[in-house]
Amino acid sequence: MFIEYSREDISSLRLLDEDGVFVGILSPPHPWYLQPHSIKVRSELWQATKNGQFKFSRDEMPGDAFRRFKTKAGDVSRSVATTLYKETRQVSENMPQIKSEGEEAPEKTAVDRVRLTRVFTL
Amino acid sequence: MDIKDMRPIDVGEHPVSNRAYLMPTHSIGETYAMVLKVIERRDSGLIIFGRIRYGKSSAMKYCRQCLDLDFPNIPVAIYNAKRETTPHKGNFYVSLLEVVGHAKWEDRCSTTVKHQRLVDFIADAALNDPRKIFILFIDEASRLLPLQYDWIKDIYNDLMLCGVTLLPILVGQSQLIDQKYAFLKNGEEGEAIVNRFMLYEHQFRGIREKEDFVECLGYYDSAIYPQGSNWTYTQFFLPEAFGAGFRLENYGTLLWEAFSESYQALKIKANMEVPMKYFTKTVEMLLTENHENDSPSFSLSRESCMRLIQESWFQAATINSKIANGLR
Repeated sequence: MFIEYSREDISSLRLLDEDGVFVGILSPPHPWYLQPHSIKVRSELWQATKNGQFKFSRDEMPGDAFRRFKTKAGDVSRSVATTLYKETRQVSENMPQIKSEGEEAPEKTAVDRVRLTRVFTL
Repeated sequence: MDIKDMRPIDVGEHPVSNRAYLMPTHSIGETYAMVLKVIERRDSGLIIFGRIRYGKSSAMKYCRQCLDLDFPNIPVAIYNAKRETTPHKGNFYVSLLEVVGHAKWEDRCSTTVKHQRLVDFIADAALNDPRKIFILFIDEASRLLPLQYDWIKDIYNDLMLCGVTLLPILVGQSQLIDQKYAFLKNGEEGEAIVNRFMLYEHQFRGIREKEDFVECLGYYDSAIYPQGSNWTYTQFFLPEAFGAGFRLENYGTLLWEAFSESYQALKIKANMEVPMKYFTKTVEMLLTENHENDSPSFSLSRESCMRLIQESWFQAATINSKIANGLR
């Protein structure tokens, strides 16, 4: 078996057999599978979590976590900003994420709820 | 005659005792709005996902009841997906024939015949309504394998040729979303599945607001059973207290604060969401275990609310969620 992955996105790994035929996808545990992220983001956050320097918040995406981790000291140096831009394409939380052409956010739904009042007996 | 002896049925026969009732919540209202949108636009691809015990399956049943009233001619079926290690096309079609209500679902015949029966039956049922749609809720959809999605896709495509739209609505836990992204990473085949069945994500929530919580309590004070009688759920179990003005809705703040206190004791920073399972269990215990203590002076104290919540296993289940989902 072979494992194929991209350094820029290790939110999943492709599993291939000895002939290079695709077998399946290996997904990491929560929250790593939630969002594409680089091996650098994973390694740094993993190390910081292991050392007790960082904790994920509820439903926090790897990109947001990396930004929070890198900016927790307050001032953001140019090199930190560059790293954040390269790894998450967003330097601060308030800045809209930069998207490449053709890239679309996943469909999330938002609707006004229907006011329901009836209790059904089965 | 004592009012307790005037109950039209035994306590054990009441839907609250048997948990045989469906109650609306804000999240069900949002879910039903999504279902209506899907019908209006003939869009297949709705995913309803949420944590366990939040009441997704009940929401699905509630939506079916509403659809039966609002669109009596649109056929709706619920398929409960099974975990299979080696799925078999024939068996899968038999299960679908059974849930859509085909009279000969058990017949021994070839897979091709089963497929054709399924397509014909769904098309016939859908043609009763000018919208020509068939709604198929698939519960525990994360158990479906890519092969099974392919089989549903075959049915979907054949129905399209008949001018009928199959609207599968996938219901499950957040693994469904993982599955969606895993499919997308699988190339065009995966994309074909996602674009047909997994396009829109709708998160099903627990009770997050006090307003929603108090409204739900109010339904026990107003819902009637048996139909045609004047016995509300609360009145049925606590007739004397109800006669003296006892209403669950009036205890909304006390119960909400008791839930909040139980939750805060777990030291979770995330906002509280009460899973429907533990909300209804608390109220059901309150009613069914107190019917013998009924009196005009019956009331609830903070301690009794805390005890009920503890015995509903709300705290124990939330601790489990904390461990399993990394809640902080």
